[in-house]
Amino acid sequence: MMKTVLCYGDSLTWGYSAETLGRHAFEDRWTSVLQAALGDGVTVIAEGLNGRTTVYDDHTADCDRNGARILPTTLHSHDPIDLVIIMLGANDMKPVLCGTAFGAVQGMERLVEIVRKHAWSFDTGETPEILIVSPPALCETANAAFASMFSGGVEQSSMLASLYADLADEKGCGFFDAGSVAKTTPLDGVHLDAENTRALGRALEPMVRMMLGV
Amino acid sequence: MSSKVKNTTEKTPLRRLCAAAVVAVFPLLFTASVQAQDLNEQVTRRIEKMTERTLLFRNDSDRIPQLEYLRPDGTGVVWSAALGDKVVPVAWTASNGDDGKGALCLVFKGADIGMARDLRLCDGLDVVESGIRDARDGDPYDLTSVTRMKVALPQIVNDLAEIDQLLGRD
Repeated sequence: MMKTVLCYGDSLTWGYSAETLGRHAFEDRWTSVLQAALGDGVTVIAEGLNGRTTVYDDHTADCDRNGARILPTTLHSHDPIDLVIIMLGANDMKPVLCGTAFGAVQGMERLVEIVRKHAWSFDTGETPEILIVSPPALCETANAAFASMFSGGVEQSSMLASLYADLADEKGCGFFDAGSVAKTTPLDGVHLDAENTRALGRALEPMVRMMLGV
Repeated sequence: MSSKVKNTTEKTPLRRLCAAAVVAVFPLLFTASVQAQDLNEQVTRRIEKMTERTLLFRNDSDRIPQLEYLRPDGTGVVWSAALGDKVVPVAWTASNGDDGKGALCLVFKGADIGMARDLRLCDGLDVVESGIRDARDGDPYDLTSVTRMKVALPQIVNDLAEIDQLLGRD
């Protein structure tokens, strides 16, 4: 039976390239690499939105970046879902929106609750498994705009992995530290170059296979 | 995939952590003596070769390795590339299977592997044996006494000599 994986994320999932200021080629995005690795029996849905946060409003944005508000609609759009991969929190590092790792963890916890308590259209009796992926830590950058936008983010984001791991244990979710296989580019301190986004897709395969049973 | 062994003895493309059937409850452990009463002689011999040894197993796609150590009492531990540096407990059961060639099931507690539900993985012994890339007697990496290794298990491991090197034991 076909399995469905929803990848719910931000620009790291959308595939933003700090080099071209555009989008990575389709085949370079981690979601595409994961899809290729898993094969035809699995559908990987890339649901990435630039600037998406866990639960925080960005009133400067031209559309809703609040991950908690959009998630229920997205879950309905792709129902039935076997696994939800959530990689969010990088934009929570913006001090104007949240600015702390602790805040991102609270946001991630809310997203887990939303998935678990969602009013699924088809009553299969089972909710999707959840895989929490901590985004790679921000790095120092000479890009003044990003350095300012994410002020303090290098230190705060370095705490995300351990805090998300604890949350995953507490909530019975899978956990993967993207920072263990991918590093952010110093071009803007936030995003992944093509090689690093491909590496993330390859690295996620084993755990996703386990959680899907494929 | 059914959680029943009788439906899992066909050759499957992937097994263990990579070919799972999820069950809602964690079953009681079977003792070795109970299993032995039910197993035919051939299956008993094949199972014995898998216990009290450290096995390097890879799935059919040859990408996702795991080390397994199974005790005769129906318990064991697994270190999988799917779980990074974690070593997790497992319960195992064996049966003759529909074809009489035997089947092996591993059951993981969901809490140990980051899942809401427990995970039951079954395969025929032909599939299991074909996935074993290397083996060594005993528990040379002390898997049974740790919950985490000092490194994550890489996605590509071809033999236990590579594990020795990885752990600085060569």
